[in-house]
Amino acid sequence: MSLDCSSAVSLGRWIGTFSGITTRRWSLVGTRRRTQDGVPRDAAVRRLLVLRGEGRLTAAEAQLAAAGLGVSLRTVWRWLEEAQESDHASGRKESVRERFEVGDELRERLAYWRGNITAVHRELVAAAAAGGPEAPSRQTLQRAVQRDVLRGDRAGLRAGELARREHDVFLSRPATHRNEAWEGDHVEAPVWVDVEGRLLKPWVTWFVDAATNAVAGVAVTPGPASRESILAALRWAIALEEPYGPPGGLPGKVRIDRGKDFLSRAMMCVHGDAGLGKTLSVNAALRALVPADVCRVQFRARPTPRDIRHVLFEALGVGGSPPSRPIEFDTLLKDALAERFRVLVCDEAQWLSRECFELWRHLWDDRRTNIAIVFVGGGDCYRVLRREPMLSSRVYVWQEFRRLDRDQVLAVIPAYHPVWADADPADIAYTDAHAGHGNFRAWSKITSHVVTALARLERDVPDREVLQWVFSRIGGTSA
Amino acid sequence: MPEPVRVLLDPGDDVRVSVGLLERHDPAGGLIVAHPTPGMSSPAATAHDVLAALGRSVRRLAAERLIGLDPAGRAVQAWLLTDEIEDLVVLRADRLSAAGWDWLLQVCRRTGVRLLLVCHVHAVPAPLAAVLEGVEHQIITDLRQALPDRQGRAREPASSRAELEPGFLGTDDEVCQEGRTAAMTWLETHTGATVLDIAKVLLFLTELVQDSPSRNHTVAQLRGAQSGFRAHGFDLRFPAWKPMAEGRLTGPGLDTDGPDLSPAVLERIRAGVAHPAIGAGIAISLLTRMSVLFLHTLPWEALSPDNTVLRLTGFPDYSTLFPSTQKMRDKTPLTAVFVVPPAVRPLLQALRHFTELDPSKRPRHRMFASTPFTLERIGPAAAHCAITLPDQKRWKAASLYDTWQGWVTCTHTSWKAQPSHTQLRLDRIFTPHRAQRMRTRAVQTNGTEQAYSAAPITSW
Repeated sequence: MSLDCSSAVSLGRWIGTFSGITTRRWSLVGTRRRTQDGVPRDAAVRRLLVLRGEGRLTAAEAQLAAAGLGVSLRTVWRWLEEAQESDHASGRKESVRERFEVGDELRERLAYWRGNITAVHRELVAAAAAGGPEAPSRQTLQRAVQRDVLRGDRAGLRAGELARREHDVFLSRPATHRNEAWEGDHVEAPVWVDVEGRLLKPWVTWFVDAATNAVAGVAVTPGPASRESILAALRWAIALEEPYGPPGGLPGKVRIDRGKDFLSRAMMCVHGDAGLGKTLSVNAALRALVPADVCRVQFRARPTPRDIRHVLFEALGVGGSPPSRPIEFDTLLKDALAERFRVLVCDEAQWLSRECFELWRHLWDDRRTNIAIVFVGGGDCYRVLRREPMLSSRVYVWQEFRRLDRDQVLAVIPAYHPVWADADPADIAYTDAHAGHGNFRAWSKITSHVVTALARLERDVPDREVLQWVFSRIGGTSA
Repeated sequence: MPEPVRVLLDPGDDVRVSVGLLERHDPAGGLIVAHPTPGMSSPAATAHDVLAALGRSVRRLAAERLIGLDPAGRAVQAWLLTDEIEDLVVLRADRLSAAGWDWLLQVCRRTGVRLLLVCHVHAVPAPLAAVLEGVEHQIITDLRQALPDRQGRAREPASSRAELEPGFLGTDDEVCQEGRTAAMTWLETHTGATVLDIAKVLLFLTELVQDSPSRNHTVAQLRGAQSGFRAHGFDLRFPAWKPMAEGRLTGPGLDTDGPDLSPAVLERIRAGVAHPAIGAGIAISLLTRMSVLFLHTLPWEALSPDNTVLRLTGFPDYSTLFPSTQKMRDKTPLTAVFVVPPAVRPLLQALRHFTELDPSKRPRHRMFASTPFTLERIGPAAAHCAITLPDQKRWKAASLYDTWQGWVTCTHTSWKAQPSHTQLRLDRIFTPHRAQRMRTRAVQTNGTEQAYSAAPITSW
């Protein structure tokens, strides 16, 4: 039996709330059905129906509700069925309404109409009338735009780049002379470029003279900006001869925007389905890059900020006993994280709550700490993290892990293990189609069983017979 | 001049707003940025966050008894006033409770601090709007409006004895001459007086030797001052020079070794202690070398209103058996005066604010009445700051009996020192001419000249 702890606890607390304060208030109304203990039955049933609508209702939660209401489990199930039937009869829907969000297509339409929401809505209604998807109401669209599109972006759509920059937080500095200061930055250009047959978004790194706004140096790279691209842009900026000049020379100083990317102090999210090798890849990369400065933290399901504090306390090797008060705890952790640069790897990030993200952000925002945070998670990790506005401007890289396609499988698997080195590519493709599915974890299991089978059968190369035996062991389809 | 309360809306929760504000954090310039602890929204937690923003340690809140809102809130207000904070920025203010907002508004009203609440929401939350009702406030969406061209003020550098220029580093005779000149200059402001307030004399002597680099210099300067007083007809007497020079007596100018109130030590007190009374207690203990047991009864009258002078008065404790050959003082109180270095004065000012902010309004005659002031509390706090307190053992701890100031007397005589007395080797010779001896004795017997004034000072 699986138990969704947070739901169960919240349900239990929620019932506790009703049996306490709220019950007294509702008793004056006296029109609601209630149990012998006075707990409103309708409210509890309604909540359970919501959970069922979300697909999160388990027996444990029903049991908890039964205990809270003082009735048997069967009674709760019966109430649920009755309520659902009556809802169906009355045409009432208790399912969770999906929130309307502004996607890429809508952003394009907004840009086309220069931020005019009414015009976009008119277009959506017209598209719906022509057989397209259902159009939201204008108020819903307005709310979604207000919520999902930053104020500066909206201003930029209406009045252009200068208006958008008005919303940027720049500390005003007096204009001085040429080359007194340069400002460096880089950005992923929002265009697709064909690089040797592959579509990529190029990165632009540049240095701008603060006094004249002249671009002193620039470098365009097919991949994310790196040390090489920064040095290339710097070389361009310093050189004065053609074609690099005339802007440039030697700057008095170079400013960078807090330097999260330049200094490698950033947040990163690695997401993708389970079994694609996210954790393995992150660990392997960090082992090669900063072997002594990595701090891995992994939690049980649904961790709380308290859990994070204690796990970090253990992982950082802070001596003594953990403080009892959060502020003392955080101060201690910040002191430890300020000692030297560290990379904190937070696995299974999709389980974190908003309070947990607040704690990570709190530690990262602090001026003294010197950390980079890598969130690794499967399932709906991307959605969970994207939902938090605080992470939108802090996460620098959103790295998605995808399944291997057939060509990649044929290229990678023969090199993965010797048993596949001489295997027929058709057999590898057959295995991937029926059991591997481009998932490295699945391929690891298959390989282990294949090695066993080959040893027993005293064969060197897996064939269809061996593979079908393996499929029977791991539950893959054999035909 | 911006409104006293402003609310900055940042619905996008942009990193540049939070980090940009955190980078403006400048307590010395009068601006602090409080970064609330995640998951905590109570007023007490907010007070602790502001304490942390003020640079005070929040790792010993329970030990310093600053858990509750009342003591923590008073400490916050005391430090805000002492550090002359002008702007308080509270990040993620939308996550605070209504009680937390209310407390922040009260603090800002009492201390005159401008408050900037940063809310990462589209509109001011309804509970906050209810709290702000009736309060003059401004809602802004641009960070540049939040802190428009704020100029940080220049603070005078913290100075203490170690930072001041060392005393006159000459030969003993030259140092002595310097003391004599200083004494004569000081006495010119008291021309015609026959009775000198001993507290003022002690203050002059203390200021004279405060920055002395060694005990020998102190002794030489005091000898010079003695000579200057004698030249004006005042018989200024000190305890024997030898125990002073050997360090068997304590007091200003003689405590040149051991823990000192250096800028580094003061910085450790500021960063390691959140309770104003404990911080001030450690500083006074280091300044006077007195035991905590003695200091805990210190009255407020002992400290001048501008926190520049600390005057300790007490009666000698004769619990120890004295040999019958040793002369015991009568009920004359012992007095010692200490000049409080400028860098220590803010700590005492914070204690003053902390006491005044007591909501019970009970009269507080003692400086440390607002907190249980015991060695069990002061000792661990000092250890947390890596500071060694003076020896607190009863038989080793310094008392007024052990200070050179406690033994200073100043008597007006009808004769003046001969010119030859300016020399160091002749300074012990201070006798009247034979014809004057009989008259002097008669005058002293009749008591027409007050020889010693040690009455407690009632007003500064």
